[in-house]
Amino acid sequence: MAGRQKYIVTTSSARPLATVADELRRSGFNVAQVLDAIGIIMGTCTPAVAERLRAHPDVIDVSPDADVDIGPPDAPVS
Amino acid sequence: MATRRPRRSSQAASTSTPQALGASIDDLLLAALERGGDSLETGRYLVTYKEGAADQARDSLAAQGMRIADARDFSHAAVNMDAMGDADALYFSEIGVALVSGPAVAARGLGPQTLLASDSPIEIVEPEYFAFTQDTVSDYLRGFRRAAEVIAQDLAGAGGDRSADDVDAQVLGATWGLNACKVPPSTRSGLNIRVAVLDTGMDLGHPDFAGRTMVTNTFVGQPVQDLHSHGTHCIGTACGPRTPAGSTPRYGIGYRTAIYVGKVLSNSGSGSTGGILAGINWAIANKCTVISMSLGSQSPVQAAYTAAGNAALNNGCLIVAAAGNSAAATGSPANSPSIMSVASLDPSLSPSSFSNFGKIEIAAPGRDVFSSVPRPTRYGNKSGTSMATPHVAGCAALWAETSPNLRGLSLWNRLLASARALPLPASRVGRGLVQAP
Repeated sequence: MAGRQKYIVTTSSARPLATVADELRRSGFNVAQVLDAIGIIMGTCTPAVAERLRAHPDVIDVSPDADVDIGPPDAPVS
Repeated sequence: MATRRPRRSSQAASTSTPQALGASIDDLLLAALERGGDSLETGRYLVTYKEGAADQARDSLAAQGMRIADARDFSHAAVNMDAMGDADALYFSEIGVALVSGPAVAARGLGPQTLLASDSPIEIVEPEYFAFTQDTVSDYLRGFRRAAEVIAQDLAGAGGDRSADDVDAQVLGATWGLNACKVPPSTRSGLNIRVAVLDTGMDLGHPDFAGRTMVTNTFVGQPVQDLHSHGTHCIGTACGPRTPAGSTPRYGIGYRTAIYVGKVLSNSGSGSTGGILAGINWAIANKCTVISMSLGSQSPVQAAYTAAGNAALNNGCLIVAAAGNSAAATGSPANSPSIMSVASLDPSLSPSSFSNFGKIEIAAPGRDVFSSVPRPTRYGNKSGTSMATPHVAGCAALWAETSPNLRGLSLWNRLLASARALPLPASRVGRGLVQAP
């Protein structure tokens, strides 16, 4: 779907993560992974849905997934 | 993220190993590692034609039913191996040499042992070899010499009257980094402590790790086998052996730890926050005591990493991360308050010029660090806060072995309390140089 991108949703630990994930789904978040041990839910949605998720009482942060790069094997420092 | 799209000939596609002419270097390396041994052969062959026979070469290849790509067909003769398609042979007319796939050579009985007829246009058939950068040996010797000088200075400063032989013995015994962290005298080995290293994977067949417990998982869609070298180097420092083969100095700290290899960075060294978080989740779920992350970016504090660090501490797990190498403010994830940020020190115990600053908890050796790298090279030197981080992870594992109560935040506190204070600002080195128990 156009405009969808990967987001990382950080939640507080007040309620079961599966319950929160279901609520995010109903808000239009396409849940890809639920990381139980660290209270994080990953998936895809549009920026508009991401904005809505931020208003959820158990959500403390919604951020786009970002790239990390340590450079090539022969980088002078890594 | 890096993607690999090796194009394979129809002949090679039916085999399990990538022997096609256009196979990626990654696939050739993987196949070579699967074949075992220390061979540097790629599995392809170089056919050199006799002087003056270059004109016949192309006809000769065609006469043998080979599908031929010609270097002249590429713009400025800059051959793109990825575009080899189904070709069996790539002919370099300028030098009278053809690169031929392994299956094509085998099918035509053209191996290096083949007796060539005197009227054959072929001069010789030889295996092709991998090429590696050559700086490892000189780097190693440079680091070695520097370590010797530093230790000699240390001994002189302590007023000791030890002979030069003692200095040599100590230098040969362990890397400068392990000596600086007081690892060799420690009686601890990290026995059964689970250490997760989230990086580019591990050379799972490295001889120094034979018989070690390794639990692996990939979060980047590539096999855990490390074709970059960064992960194997970091694991070497945190978890490498007490007595590596031959005259190799000791470079590993937690030599009886259980190694959890989480591949969150591809063989080109790239990954994403999501993959790293999935790796942290995996390590915590597997009850790892220490997570070592020699990775990051120059970005502000990310709530997800802070939450992951807190979750780790609440589950008896300590995350250590590299401060970064931008000579700037500590990057993410090390800038999260719940993640221990590690700065890099030179052998003189001054902060490395590249080391980030600001939010720093502890410092560790990060310049000219000698450790394991994937076969066939086996050992090499690297520099960076990436190399400092596994020194802290390894020492954390040794401390964790001393008491089951030293977990999470108490392990964090013990590492800081036992660090060797340095006459430098906390913003550069935190509480000082990490020390083994």
